[in-house]
Amino acid sequence: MDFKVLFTILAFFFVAENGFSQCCSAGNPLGSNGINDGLPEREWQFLASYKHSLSKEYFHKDHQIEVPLVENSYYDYQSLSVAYGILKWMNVSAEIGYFYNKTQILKSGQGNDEIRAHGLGDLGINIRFLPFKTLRTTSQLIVSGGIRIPVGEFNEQIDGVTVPVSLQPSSGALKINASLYYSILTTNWKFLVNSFALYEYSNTIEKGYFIYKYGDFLQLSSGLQYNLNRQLTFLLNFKYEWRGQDQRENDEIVESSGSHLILINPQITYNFKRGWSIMLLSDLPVYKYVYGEQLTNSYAVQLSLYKRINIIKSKIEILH
Amino acid sequence: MILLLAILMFACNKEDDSPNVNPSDKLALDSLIATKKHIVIWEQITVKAFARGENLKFEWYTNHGSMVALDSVAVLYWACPSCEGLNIIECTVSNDYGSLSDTVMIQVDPENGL
Repeated sequence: MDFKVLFTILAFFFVAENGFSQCCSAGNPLGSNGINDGLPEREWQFLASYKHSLSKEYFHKDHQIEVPLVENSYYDYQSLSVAYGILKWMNVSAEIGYFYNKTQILKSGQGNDEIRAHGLGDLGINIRFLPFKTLRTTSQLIVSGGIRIPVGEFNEQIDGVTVPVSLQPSSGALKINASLYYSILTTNWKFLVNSFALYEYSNTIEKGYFIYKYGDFLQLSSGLQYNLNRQLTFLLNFKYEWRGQDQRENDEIVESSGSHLILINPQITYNFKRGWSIMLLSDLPVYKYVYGEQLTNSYAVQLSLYKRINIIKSKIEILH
Repeated sequence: MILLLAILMFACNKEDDSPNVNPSDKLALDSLIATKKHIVIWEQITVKAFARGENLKFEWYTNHGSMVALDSVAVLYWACPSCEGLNIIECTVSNDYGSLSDTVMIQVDPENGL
């Protein structure tokens, strides 16, 4: 791969003008980790991801506004996940992550330059059902259900002062989600069309004086994958994300919450030998509408390394 | 009669002469004072704890909004747009004798009625 191609790919991932995405909020990043297809029976998948996200623009409705005090907000998050094909038609997976930092940079004159937290995020457990037997031939339909358990840090402090909820590594809330994924290969096996839908519901948090319910979350995406060869694949997804408005005590609606976003999500995957793969993906918001005034995301970039091990295939290889 | 009066006076004097031990001198949180209790978003206020005791440790918590420590007994508080409403700031002061908490409520209104 020459320098021009590499530069083009990097530009594709990092150039985002006036972009937005999910804003910096408590708990783990929302949505999928970029791998939505199913695993065959008795196949393991081990995945390690590193994600960086920056939020720097405040918006009112669909335009940027200036606010005092806050310069920007960012996080660096590493997650580990393991998935296993229990049956031909069922996979299970678990994911946990750690925030190396979840930081809000303040404008000068606030006593501190920044407010920073770090710690364990929430635990995600997911079950995927694969009702069609055509797994990894031409098409697949996957129905999933999952839960996020708030096992992470939700009481981080600096100098005895509890940091804001939006910077806590855990969301503090039990969340359940359901998703549908469908993909189909074209006849020449060069292209794969996919669609994905995810809905997440959050339980009400009741911790001391903090009574809060995050708005429901819906993500719809559709995209085209181009298989250059066995090793290299390119994927471009278009996403729509809706977030309902949050509620605080006495069912009071939080006016500055809830949003509609449109994003593009490019991905590049390189498959090495022996089941190893590396994937680079990005979320680049291109349109956003928020209720009230909210800090919005500028970009998120994720690098993942994963390995798939098929126990049955391995045993056959050993026997031969 | 004189003897009875003398006994009574002795008893009263004895009470007055006893050492003045005030348990609150070991640990007391006298007040929690905010410079304003009704603010608009992004407006900054100072909240200060007035406490007594030795080796005091302060912990600050708010259900909505941001705070940074100014010194060991005071914090700077402000609220972003998603923190409109009636918010609670709690200060807990503790030492070897235990801990005490007090709260102050801050009403945060929109800046321009959005």
